[in-house]
Amino acid sequence: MKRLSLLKDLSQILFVLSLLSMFFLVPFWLLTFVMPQTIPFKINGETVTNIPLTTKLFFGIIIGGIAFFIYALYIFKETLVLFRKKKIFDMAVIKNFKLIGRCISAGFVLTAGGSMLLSLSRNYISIDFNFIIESIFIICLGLFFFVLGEVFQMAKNIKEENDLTV
Amino acid sequence: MKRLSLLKRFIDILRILLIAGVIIGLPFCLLLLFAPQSVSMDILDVPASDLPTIEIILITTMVASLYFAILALRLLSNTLVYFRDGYFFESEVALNFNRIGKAIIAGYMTSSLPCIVYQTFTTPVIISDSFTDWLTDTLFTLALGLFFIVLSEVFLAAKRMKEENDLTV
Repeated sequence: MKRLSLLKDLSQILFVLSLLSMFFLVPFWLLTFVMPQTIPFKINGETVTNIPLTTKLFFGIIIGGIAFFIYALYIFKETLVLFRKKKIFDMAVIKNFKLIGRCISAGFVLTAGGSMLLSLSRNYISIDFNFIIESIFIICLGLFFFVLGEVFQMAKNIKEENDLTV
Repeated sequence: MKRLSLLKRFIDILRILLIAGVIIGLPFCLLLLFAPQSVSMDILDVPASDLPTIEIILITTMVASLYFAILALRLLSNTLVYFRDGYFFESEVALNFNRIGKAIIAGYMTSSLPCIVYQTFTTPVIISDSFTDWLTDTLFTLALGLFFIVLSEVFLAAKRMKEENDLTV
């Protein structure tokens, strides 16, 4: 239980930090559409007023993907609260695991798709070993939560059988 | 179960890629360490002969510590085989989850922690990470490791429950 509390604290800090980054990212992104001239600095050596609309839209897709990851983290945090309440093989936990898997998958599709579109729109195409490794890792993480949901479902069934026999 | 097979396949691919990374990366790092003049290419725009020895040692440690990631992936792949065969509540599953968690944390301690300490006290030439990247990476890796350790405790509890169930039936 000590480890569970530590894990909950760590995920809470990670969640707050991610949320903070979103608080800056979303208004900044909106500002690039509404008042680009007010942004005093350059992005990748380019003034914001010169950035094409498609690039800004692809940035929006990436931000959407990040939002999915943050939501997955939020559900993960909520699942740990359920664990602490000793609700382990509970329907809510199973649903949460599956939802985390879905959010991670959606987040991956949006961020990877957005990044690739962004690179293509700027005629910058390359194969990055790190990108491949990270992509497979995120896909695995999403699938792992789906599998965990299925395994917990089986454990729940066993628990219910147990309760009935006793 | 279709997802389980897919996950196993992806994990095996990831493991093979990491093994390839170590097989290529480790001799290259050792070459940089012992015969930097024989490497004619630039590493992140810095000539190989200008790289500080301490940074090469740190990079070599990072590549070597991929062993822990490979170990964690192998254990996860083995655990998925147990799942595929319908053995969900074996003590090996709980033990594997515990080992995976420890391998993730050990991998972090041997690869990233020395780099962070080094960056804190000196100005690095090629090893550089922003504070936010460092913080989120640290938190994420530690949380992932701890999650597997918590999972091992959960699966141990499930195993006990199943044993009780078998006894009552």
